[in-house]
Amino acid sequence: MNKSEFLKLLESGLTELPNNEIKKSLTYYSEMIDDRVEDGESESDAVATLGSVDEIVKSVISQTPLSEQIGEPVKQKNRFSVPVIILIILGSPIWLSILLALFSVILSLYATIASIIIALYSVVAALLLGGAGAVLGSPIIMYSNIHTGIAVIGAGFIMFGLGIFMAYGTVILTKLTIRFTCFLGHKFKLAFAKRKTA
Amino acid sequence: MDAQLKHGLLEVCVLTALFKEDSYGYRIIKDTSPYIKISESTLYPILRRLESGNYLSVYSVEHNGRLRKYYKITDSGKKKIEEFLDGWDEVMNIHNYIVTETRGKEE
Repeated sequence: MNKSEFLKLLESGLTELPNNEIKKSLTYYSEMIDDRVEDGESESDAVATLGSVDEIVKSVISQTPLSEQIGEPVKQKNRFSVPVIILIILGSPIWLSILLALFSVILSLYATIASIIIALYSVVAALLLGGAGAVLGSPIIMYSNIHTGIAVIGAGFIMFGLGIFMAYGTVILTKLTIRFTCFLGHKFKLAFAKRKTA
Repeated sequence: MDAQLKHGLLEVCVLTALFKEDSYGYRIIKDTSPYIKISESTLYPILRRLESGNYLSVYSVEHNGRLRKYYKITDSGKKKIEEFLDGWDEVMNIHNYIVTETRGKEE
């Protein structure tokens, strides 16, 4: 990489800083390269010894006092030029509806998942209650008919067992859904934050 | 060397490199390199900090058809070196304590 390529990369990495801060670090690094070249190094060697641009960008941004980072309105203008803003406004019927559609798809997806989970819980509750009722109630039936009573007690145990089994699965499914939602929310937040600082 | 310890030493080393005469970025790195390793990207924030703390002043000199920034130590910069040296007695005391407590017992 030569000097001008390096400086261009550095500049594009620092766009979130005020102009004078960008200029300061560009003059600093350009002077460093010039001095190394004057000292006998080749331009590409001099650039290479400075390290990766990403690292430099990170350190410059993190080391710039916050007061100076926000000292001057950032170059927001460069991000959305006037024609782009007009396009955004004119295109709003399209992208707004797409956004709304996306939002409602996500919402309905969640409604579906939620209702499935609620249904599963009610099945579990029915199995557990029904099973318990059958087991507890079977002695009464045994009085009138011993065979039916035994069959009912067996059915009750099977229902109760199935209920416990399904409860496990349902709880795990709920946890997974919650975790996935957190993950999704996190991703959204990240994407949003990135767009804000970019 | 411990990163935190080095961090504190760097500022004083940069000021020391300016003590006898004004200097510029690349020469500061070269002059201090036998004692402490300062990379370009470490030096930059240090110079900025020292400048905003009024420990050094900056001026530009034309050199080979381009501008080079020279750094000049201020009185408060010199005072900072003095304070560092004074504080070092305390560090030596602590060093002594650590040495006698940890290595002295083995003998």
